[in-house]
Amino acid sequence: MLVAVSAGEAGGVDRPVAIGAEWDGALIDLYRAQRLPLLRLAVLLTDDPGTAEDVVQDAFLALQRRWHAVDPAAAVGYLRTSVVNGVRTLYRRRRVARRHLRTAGPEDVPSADLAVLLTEEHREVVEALRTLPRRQREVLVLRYWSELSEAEIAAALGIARGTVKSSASRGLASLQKHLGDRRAG
Amino acid sequence: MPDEWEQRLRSSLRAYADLVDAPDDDELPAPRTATAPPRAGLRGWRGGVLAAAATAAVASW
Repeated sequence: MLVAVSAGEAGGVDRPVAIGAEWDGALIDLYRAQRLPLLRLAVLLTDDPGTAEDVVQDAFLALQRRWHAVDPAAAVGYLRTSVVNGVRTLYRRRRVARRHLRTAGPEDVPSADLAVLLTEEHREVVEALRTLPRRQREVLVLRYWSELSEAEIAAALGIARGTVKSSASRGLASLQKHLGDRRAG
Repeated sequence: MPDEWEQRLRSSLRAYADLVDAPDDDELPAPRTATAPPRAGLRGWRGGVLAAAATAAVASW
């Protein structure tokens, strides 16, 4: 049986809350089918499984609030855009907090790095990906992992198709240079 | 050889994403309460994966 838990509860103590009629069958099916791929997308964008889980939960909550107004055929795209925007918002908030506080809060403590579990060949690529500007990384992940078209990426990120093309091209060139330099060095 | 780099990137992204297993719970999300901070605890799949990552990091250090 599905039980709703608060996304904000820490320490593994989950308090079930009433779902009521707001989670209908189609939305529950969508949650079961899309939760893992969205979680993986969020990890590819954040490198942090904990943050990724929160972003994905928030994306589903946002969809659930607008479920009556969203075309079911567009729901996956809506979720994907919510995840990308959620990651951006999170990092923007953290940058602002760091500027004002000038101290690292608990959320700034890096979690264990999943990438250490990769083979060296893959780890080099992931580390190179982390050096790219945010938009280039988003475009490359959506293009080469989500396998989206330029038009779909443009819609997901809210940018022009030309920007998608140039970001992908620059991102790939930077990766090649980074990996080539590593090999030469 | 752009195709070669594209394939390498694709392969590495898949390998990285595959490290994230399906959560072992089946819970629907509910809104955070005003007093509750974002989740910080390790739950289910996350705890196991991160423990493995931490072990690997220590072993390779």
